Amino acid sequence: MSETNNALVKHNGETPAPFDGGPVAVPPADVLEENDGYVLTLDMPGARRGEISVTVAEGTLAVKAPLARPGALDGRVLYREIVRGSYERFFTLGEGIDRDGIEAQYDNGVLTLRLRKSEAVKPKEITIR
Amino acid sequence: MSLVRWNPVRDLSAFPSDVLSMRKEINRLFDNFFQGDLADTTSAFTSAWVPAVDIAEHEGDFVVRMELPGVKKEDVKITMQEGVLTVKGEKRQEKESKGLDYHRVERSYGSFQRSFTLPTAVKSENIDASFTDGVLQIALPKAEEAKPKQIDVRVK
Repeated sequence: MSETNNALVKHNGETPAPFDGGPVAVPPADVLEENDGYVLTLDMPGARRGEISVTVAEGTLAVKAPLARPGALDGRVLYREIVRGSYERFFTLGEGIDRDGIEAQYDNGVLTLRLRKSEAVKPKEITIR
Repeated sequence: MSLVRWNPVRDLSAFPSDVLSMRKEINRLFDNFFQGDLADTTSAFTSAWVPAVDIAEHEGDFVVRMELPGVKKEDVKITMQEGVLTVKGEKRQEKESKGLDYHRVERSYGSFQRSFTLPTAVKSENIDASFTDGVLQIALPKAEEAKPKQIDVRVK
């Protein structure tokens, strides 16, 4: 079981640093809605755990992994399909997301982010007296 | 302006050569695809998705790198038979029982299979495969007789 990585880097109030050049690949993401939150799953093969940054600033969730994919291939290249470069993806968080309750896990090239819905938007069951 | 007799055949003679060279070009593309150094026999029928791969040849070995994020090690099968390397397996969808609705599905799932015919013989028993951060890396050392060897020329 992968351990929850709670060491999130949060820069509330600051906008995320602009990416400093180099090729960038956008990792594909699945977005699943649950009753009390959302689950974002991103495919980022080759990214190293310690080098992935997940930041939230002013409603923007930014996922970055610098130079995750190897650079030049040495030897005689027979196939070259893997996109070189870093990973970068941004998500805009609406009002219904609790900005402080984001969890991230990284395992086997897949980053899983769990976002909690803020209390106001959670579906509530109303009992009839 | 002097009159030049119009020769309809002369104009047409330029046309076939252009068409022929284009045809030669297309034939060459097809030839390279089917009998190139490394014939890729990816089966479109058994693959739900096609993982990206990098293959490089060095003096002593081949290195294959395939991106398989989210695929479990036990769901990957690597086989080497008669000079053909096959990597097949399945990427399973996580079962989210609490899930209400998928708003976006961009990732690929399902079975995959890719086969590569290697141009030179490899030592099957020394093939090494490792899986880190969703990237499968396979090192295939070349068989002794396939390695480039320096041949000394005897001078009488």
